[in-house]
Amino acid sequence: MNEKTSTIRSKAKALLSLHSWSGIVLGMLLYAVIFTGTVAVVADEIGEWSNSNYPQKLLIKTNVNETVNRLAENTPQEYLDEISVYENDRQQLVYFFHTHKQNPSGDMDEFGIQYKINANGETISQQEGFGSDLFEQEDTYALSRFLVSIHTELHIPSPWGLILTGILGLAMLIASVSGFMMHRHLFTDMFAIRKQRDGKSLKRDSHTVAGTWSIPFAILLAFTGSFFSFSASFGLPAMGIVAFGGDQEALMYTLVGEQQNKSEVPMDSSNVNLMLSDAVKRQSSIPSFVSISHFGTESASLLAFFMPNEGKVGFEQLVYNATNGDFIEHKPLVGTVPSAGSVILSLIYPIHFGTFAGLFSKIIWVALGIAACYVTITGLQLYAHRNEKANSSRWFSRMCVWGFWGLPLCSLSSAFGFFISGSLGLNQSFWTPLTFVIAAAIISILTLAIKNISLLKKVLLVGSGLFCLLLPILRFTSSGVSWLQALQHNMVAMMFIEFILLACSALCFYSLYRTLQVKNNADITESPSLSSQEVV
Amino acid sequence: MNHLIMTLPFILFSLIIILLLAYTDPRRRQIFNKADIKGNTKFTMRPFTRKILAWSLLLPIIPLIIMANYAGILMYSGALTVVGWFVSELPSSII
Amino acid sequence: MNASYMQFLKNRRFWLSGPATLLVSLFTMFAMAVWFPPGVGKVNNIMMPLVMLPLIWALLFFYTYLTADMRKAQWLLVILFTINSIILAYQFWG
Repeated sequence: MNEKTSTIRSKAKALLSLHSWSGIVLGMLLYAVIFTGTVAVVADEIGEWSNSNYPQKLLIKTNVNETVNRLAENTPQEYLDEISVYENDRQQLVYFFHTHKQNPSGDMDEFGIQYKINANGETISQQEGFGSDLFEQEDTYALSRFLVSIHTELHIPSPWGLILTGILGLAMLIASVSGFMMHRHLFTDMFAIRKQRDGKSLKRDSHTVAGTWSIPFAILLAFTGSFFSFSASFGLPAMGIVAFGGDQEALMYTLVGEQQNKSEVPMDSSNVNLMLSDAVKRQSSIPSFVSISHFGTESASLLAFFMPNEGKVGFEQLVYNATNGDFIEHKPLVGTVPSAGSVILSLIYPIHFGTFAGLFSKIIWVALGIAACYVTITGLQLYAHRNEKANSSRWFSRMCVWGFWGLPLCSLSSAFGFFISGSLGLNQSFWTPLTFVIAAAIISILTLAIKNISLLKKVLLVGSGLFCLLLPILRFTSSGVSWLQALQHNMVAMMFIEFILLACSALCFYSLYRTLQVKNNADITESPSLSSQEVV
Repeated sequence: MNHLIMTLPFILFSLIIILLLAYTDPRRRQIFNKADIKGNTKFTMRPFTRKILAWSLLLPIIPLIIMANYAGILMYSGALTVVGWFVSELPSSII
Repeated sequence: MNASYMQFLKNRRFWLSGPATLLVSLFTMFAMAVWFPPGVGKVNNIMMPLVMLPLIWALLFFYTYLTADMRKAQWLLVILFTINSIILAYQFWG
């Protein structure tokens, strides 16, 4: 009996050590991924908000068929391999005529000419290059893309950024599982948060309770996140080497579920508008994008990609025979026919992204993200509180405040940079990340300069509160789109982001008010203010 | 929109169950009693009843499957964990 | 003080749960692409190894980290490594 108890105890000790060390070493980076992940859930809404836009349904309201044929006549033959069409957030349709080849980094990429056509069918711009480069330079998505790239690869060049986020995902996985394994009274303690003498919650219990409730989704999100990171960085290319002897193109065609060498015999393609309207009727919604393959040949096909339909969680891909306009099938995400692999992949996306049911699911996923952020914050603060003496430099607590409150402020600053650079006619793709870096530098200097950590936190809180309040105003002055217009045109996404910003601003100022109240009470009663240090 | 609206009643159901579970949680009561926080100690629940209540949180998944509202299942599961944490963080004055 | 931070490098369990587990997990994933049946969609042998990688790694990691019998864990890793290396060698040179 004693031996068993000591084995259990040593295992619990080992798990605690694992949990603590993985948390301490990787916690701050993990927080960056989780926070930006929470923001990334509403990346599409941020895209619409930052451009003061709402979907124009251009894919059905404009003559896509006429435009495709007109542009195809003036585009080199090799780029007619595939034509991607989608609506951007500046009320334009983007037509990307491209082929597939390896880019200078060695990854399979798209290469061709990208046209931007406005609602009247006029060509606004024309650019040639690799798809990845063209997307990088796209100002429309400068803000949303930047915030998402921090989440997916901490804005570090591929593949190292992806490998790092993959490792962080595994760290989150072991932290969740070890947390679950070592907490012996998980279910009895689920609702119990003990209080300190000053009325504030005990840090350890805050961490445990939030962690307990978050465990199922923490494990799922960490698992699916690592999958994305590792597959993109080395997993897929490795599969290409092992299963296809290094032929990455063959791998791509197998995954896409298409034959590699199709007939190039010329044949007129059917009317794209008719195929699109049929797809829209079948799904009762507008496609996110359309892809026309081998246009003008006898193997021409059209694929319309839809977000999940009512009650479903998986994406829909409707495929048409583009020579006669006939509907062929609902294509699985990978492969030619539904398989275990395609079913699992079609579940991984909604579980991780949370975008399968519009704002409804996004709100829940944002809440999950906030809970996970809270677990990370309280965990690191717990270590700081236990291991730092009141008189020391407390560099760990300082780093916590710098990271936890600095990152949101830097993200808000990048939004500032987006709007201001847009108003001045500067390159938004360049200035959005740069404003983030400038804000980070200023916050770092403040972190080193302000001796009192709670004062530092107050400064960052005030900054965040102010920025959240000013951003809707800045958006309005740079675009001229008012709330009245937003209500008229049912601009749900834009109003949602504005509401969140104002709510966050209110929260920041309320939190500041509470912190000042605690300090005032401490001053009045003249009791030792160690409790206020614990509060930080 | 229909499927989303259909999920909301189940989430509200889980909120009520979790509020009940939190209110009757012995550990939570113990902590509040220790801190001399006044509360209604008359309403108690046997551990068996609490276990039944906890398991009942899984019940909504059955009608959601029958209605083929798979999005609803995912959203319900997510909302469940969020509601649980939120209720636990409520101050003693509320629950 | 610096020396104690590097102490973990001398720890046998570190090598077992760290680099060894990582290597064996990767080899298991690569080898799975060879033997896993492609299925009707012809993609299962690509998708399943990719999805299983975090799971395989986590299982091996927790086992090697918590087990009292390190020799058994060591042998398990050696056997897994050998089998998967043979499968991969056969794929590339067989």
